[in-house]
Amino acid sequence: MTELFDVTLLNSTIRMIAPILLAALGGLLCERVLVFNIILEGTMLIGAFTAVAVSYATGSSVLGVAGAALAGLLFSLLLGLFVVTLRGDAIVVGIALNMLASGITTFLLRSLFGVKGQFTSPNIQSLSTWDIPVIKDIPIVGEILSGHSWVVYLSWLLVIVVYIFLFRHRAGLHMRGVGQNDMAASTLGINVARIRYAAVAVCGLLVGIAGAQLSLGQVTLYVENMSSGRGWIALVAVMLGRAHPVGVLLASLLFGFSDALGYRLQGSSLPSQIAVIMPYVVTLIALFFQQSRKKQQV
Amino acid sequence: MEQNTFPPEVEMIGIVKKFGDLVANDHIDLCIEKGEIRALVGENGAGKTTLMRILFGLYKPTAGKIRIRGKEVSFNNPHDAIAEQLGMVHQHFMLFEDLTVTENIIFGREPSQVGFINHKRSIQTVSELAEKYGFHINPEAKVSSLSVGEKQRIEILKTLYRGANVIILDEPTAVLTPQERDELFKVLRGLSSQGKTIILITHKLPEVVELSHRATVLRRGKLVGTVETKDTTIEELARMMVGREVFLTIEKPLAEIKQPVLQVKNLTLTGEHGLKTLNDVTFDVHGGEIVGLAGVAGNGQTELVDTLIGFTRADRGEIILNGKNITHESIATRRAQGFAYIPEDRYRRGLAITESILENLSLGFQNDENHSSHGMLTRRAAYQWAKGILDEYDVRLSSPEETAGNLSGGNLQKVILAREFSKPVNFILADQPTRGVDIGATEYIYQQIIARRNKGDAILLISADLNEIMSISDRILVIYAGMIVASIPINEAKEEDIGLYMSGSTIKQKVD
Amino acid sequence: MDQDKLKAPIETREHSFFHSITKKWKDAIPIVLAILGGIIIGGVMMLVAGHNPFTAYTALLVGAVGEPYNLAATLGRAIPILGCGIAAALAFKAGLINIGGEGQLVLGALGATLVALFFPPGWFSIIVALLVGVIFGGFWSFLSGFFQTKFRVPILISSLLMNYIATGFVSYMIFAHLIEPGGSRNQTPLFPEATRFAKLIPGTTVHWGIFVVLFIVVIVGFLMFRSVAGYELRMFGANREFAEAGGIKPKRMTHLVMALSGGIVGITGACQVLGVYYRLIDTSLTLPGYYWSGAMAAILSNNNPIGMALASIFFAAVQTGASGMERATEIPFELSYVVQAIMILLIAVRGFLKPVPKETL
Repeated sequence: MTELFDVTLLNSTIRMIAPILLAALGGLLCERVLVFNIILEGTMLIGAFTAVAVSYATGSSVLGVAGAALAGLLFSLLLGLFVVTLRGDAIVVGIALNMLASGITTFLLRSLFGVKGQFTSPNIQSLSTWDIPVIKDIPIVGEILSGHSWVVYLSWLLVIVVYIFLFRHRAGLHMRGVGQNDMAASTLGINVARIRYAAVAVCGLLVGIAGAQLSLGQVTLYVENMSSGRGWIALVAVMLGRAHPVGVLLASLLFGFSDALGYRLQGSSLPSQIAVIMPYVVTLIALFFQQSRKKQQV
Repeated sequence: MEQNTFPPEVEMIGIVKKFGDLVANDHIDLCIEKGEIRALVGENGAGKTTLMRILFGLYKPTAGKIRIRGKEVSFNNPHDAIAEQLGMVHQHFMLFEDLTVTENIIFGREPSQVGFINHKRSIQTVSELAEKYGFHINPEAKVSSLSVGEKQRIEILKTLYRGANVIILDEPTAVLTPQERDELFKVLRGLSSQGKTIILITHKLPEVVELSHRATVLRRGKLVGTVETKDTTIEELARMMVGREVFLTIEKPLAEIKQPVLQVKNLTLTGEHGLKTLNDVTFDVHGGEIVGLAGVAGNGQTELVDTLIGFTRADRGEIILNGKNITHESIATRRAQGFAYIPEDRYRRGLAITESILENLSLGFQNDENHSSHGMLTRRAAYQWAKGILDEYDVRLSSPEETAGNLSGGNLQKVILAREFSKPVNFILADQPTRGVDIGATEYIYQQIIARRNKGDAILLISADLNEIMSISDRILVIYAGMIVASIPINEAKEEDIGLYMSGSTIKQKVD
Repeated sequence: MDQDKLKAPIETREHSFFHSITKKWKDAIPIVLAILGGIIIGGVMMLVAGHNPFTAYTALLVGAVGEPYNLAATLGRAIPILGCGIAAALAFKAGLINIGGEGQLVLGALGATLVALFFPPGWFSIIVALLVGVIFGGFWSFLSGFFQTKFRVPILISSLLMNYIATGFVSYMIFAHLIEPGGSRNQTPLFPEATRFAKLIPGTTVHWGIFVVLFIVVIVGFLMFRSVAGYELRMFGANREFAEAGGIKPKRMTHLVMALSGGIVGITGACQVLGVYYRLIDTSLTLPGYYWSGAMAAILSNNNPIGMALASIFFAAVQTGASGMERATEIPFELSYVVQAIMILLIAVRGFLKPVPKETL
């Protein structure tokens, strides 16, 4: 019985890492080009909503993911517009855009579906899961790793893709350069604004998909403000992982695990409202350790 | 210089550049042959940097023509200039600290397939280029690990990688030790002999005489003349540059040294990577003297300043000001002990540029009797007080309520001086006090500092400009790798010796 | 991540009372433009959704101030927004990005609730409840500041994360220890009648607690520009390193301002439960987004107290009016949040509207 407990927990962990990891991969690109992106939360919400809406309308979860990616991309382009081109303060713009996301998703929830609070329907197709041949038959490991939605496997692949992009591709080099010295990059012929927009757009795409995993991943359901701070946790993952794909992966592992643990504990003696705050506490504590390792100034 | 039948490499004809009413370049003519090393000489504000920025495509001229190798060109941006084989090495390096030498050089023009960088070919190309022109580099080193001179050579390589045949260098020796400068000159002579044309923007006349073939002198935006370097002297160049007899040292009475005001003992600070950024630093500053701290930027000056004023706590050692041990005290306490601070970066630490001049002046005085009463501000009294000291320190502005951001650099520096010098202080820490400040304000600032010194105050002057240090100091300290490696009275100080100390090549016993 | 980036919204103009009138009017132009822009874009959204923007906005206007009852509702909604707004303005002005107001709000309410439910009924308990509200909210906010000074965790991040922790904790406290027996909602029993703020306008949400909030707004606004402490706070917010070099202690400033800011939010939460609901209802303080509205009012007015007060009342009017608009036109009232957000986006780029600086030497 305890064995099953652990396996299910680890299985949930793998699933819950995905949205944080995807959002963090996107976030790290923005950090590399020095666009302070605090709208991971709002973008994830937009993605989650769009995924449900499109899946409902078309009956296809793949289209749902595509819609979420597109919506995330377009939403993030607003950040690009207001911060990169119009030079607004990234924090003010971020707060406003998060508000916008929250307001507009609730607004559309009521306008389009006529419901309050949450929306679900048998017409919404959930993400198809993959049973990985060979691995699925390995005892324990198989139960943990196999049978997840394809978005989960995509997120792992993307860790490698982002790594290769950042360190082997021209555009990745340009992004790293822009983040270190945008004036130098500009004098060497790089269109700094265009690079920043590119980073922001790809980030939006990834975070939109993260949202789709949330609402179509296991239970097909959209709840108001369902991103529940995961966008912020992803931002912390970027900080802890120092904007490096591997670092971000490790941080996401930690947070995904605490997320799953929180859910797990809801059924136990620990009251549900306390269990649910587990990931935030873990995130905060992780920050204490990381930041205080740096040399303290008075 | 051989006469040849080829058109001149660079011709600038009748160049005029106006910024509003200000005429930065007034009908300048420049004609440079291939392979020539041309010095472009003038004081701060003479227009030499403006002229070169026009040549490099950063500005468009208000009037005039530019010809490169006989072809008339019009540049809209530096990329157009680069396409015509021009390159520029700016005073402040444009490097990516966390990227490798190779990545810095190829950035923007990477050898690649489908966008994926061909690392082997990049390293090969860069190594071959370096070898061809006699540079010694490690292609895989991170730029952050390089010395200043090495970084500058990477900047030159960058221009060569992009096919530059004309290389413009803007005040390249400002941050170099005399030894690194010699190394640079060797490189530039080598390039010149290989047919590259070099334009050197400088105000250092000894270098002009040493390195250039010809020198063009600008004064207040106008062309004074172009001379063959071998036919002229430093004095003549100086006269052309300034239009009057130049006094190279500032007159001041002999120092009347009094008690030590600041005593620094065994100050030690360990930075990242476990390296000591301050290593057993010991020195005194007495009342009535100006102690100048010379050194290449990055050898501990910043850490010393931060530790003295109180942004950082030293790991070991003591700081004693007017007899009181302030090593562990707050900035407020240190200031109360008589500490005045003119920060290196006035925009970061000296001012709040969104606020009014009055509010900028009041910091440190807010609890004084003409600024507040019972915790509430007395604005009218403060306003009058401000007008008084702004007048006293020759600050040009319409009213103390004006926003700080509207004032020029020189004026703002005077505001800072007004504030710091109006406090009851006898120790002044002046960090690069004339950086980015026009000639008039610079002279004024020197006058004020010397006046305080004559009154008996103790002044520690930190500057990357060796000329400045040698002009007004009574005693010179040299810092290298976090250690004080020399202490020399001004009448014994020789520039070459100081240069050696600055580059760490002679580490004698510490003299007090 | 660079600490420099995490400063509060950058201010682009002066704020002292000693300005000529013309300057003040000129400064208000971007704000007016932002408001107009929000209204126009909101109207476009209504059009796209198939509604007539003119009828909709008329319904909104009526819903906000058209009838005495609506006007009172607007005022009642403005009270918590004002309280949160001045708290946010205070923190932002000091360069501290306190976005943990939701957590501070519910904790302040919790504190007041504990007093109201367990102390003997009476006006004395109201006072204690208010104080406990200050302490709970102030302490939570102080923690955020402490995490920055001690562990270098940015206040932006910690205050945000602590929102979730606080709301979860309060939710738990109600559910597990304070829940009204026999009820179906997660809420506490009603406070005794003597431990309530009486209604200022009967039948509305306007209660005597409004004077507490207004008093705080006026005092904070006054002190910010007329006191030495206010001066130090403003310099600290304008350029932290400059302030520190001038002798101001950053740790102390951070701790004090965060505690004060959170304390104000806390007392605001206390006033809400003591004057509007007479009980603590889970999510009643977070669902209406009071703190976010207050923060946005502060941003819109560049942290100027008078402007913030006007903006808070404006947002309260828009939100109240939107409810009325929904009743008349079926447009969901969340549109008001969307319009608010758009206004903030537009004000964020006010610097862009300035003339482009000419080439400089």
